[in-house]
Amino acid sequence: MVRSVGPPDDATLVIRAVPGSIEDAVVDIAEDALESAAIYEVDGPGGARVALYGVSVFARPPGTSPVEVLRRFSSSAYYLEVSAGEVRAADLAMLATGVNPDHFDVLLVDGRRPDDPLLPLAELRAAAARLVAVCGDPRPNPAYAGGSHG
Amino acid sequence: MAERRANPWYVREVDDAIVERLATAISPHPRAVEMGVDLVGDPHREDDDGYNWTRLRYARNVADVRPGSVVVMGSRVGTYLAKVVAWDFEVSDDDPIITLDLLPVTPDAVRRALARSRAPAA
Repeated sequence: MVRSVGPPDDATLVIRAVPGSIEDAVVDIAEDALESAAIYEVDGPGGARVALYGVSVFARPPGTSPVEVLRRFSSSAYYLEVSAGEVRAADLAMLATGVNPDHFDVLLVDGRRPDDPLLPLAELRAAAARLVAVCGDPRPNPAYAGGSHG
Repeated sequence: MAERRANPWYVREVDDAIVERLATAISPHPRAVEMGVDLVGDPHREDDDGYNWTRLRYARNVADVRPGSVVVMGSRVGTYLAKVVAWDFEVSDDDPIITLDLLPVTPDAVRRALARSRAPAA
């Protein structure tokens, strides 16, 4: 279910809890997009039906603490956050998807038809690396339950 | 896709024969075995109805992740407790989507609570 074309540029998006390394985050994101595309299709930003090479991200409403979004990721010492405008500037499209008003998909690939062959993971890793790069340095997770951020 | 119900106890049951067929066909997923979890899946994912999801092929033991089960999920960002809400066969008869409700408690917190509950009153 697509609610709209995506969040406003000034929306803050929690992209991902960072696993052991940034490289692991890139792999996670790429694998998620591939799994998603194998299952889901949506009306893309251009209006055509596309495979959803999407990665779930969560908007952090203005004035709310990151803890509210990050509490579920308390095993991760760090997380990635960026504004929606910066994601768009990196040439990555977004869609507002699902019933959760704070949930969005960042499209690692846009414009692939649902019946096109799935892209190789390597190609998605490049796009995932672009998304991670635009986030800048990982931020300490204020909900981290493991003690020091090391 | 399993429509999110107001009743958090909702489960879409699966026939025993289907569970048995898929338990025979699907081998334990190596990452689930390595991590010691019931199911590999990413807690970031959210479907249209607000549920988390993964695929049945990521199970360690198919019979342990049938709808209604509480499972330990593993990912690169930690372990999670979830309730299996449904198996969705829309895209595959052999590797259904598993629809999960992530439980807003950590495995460690539940372990501690259960350990306390075993202690008899003095």
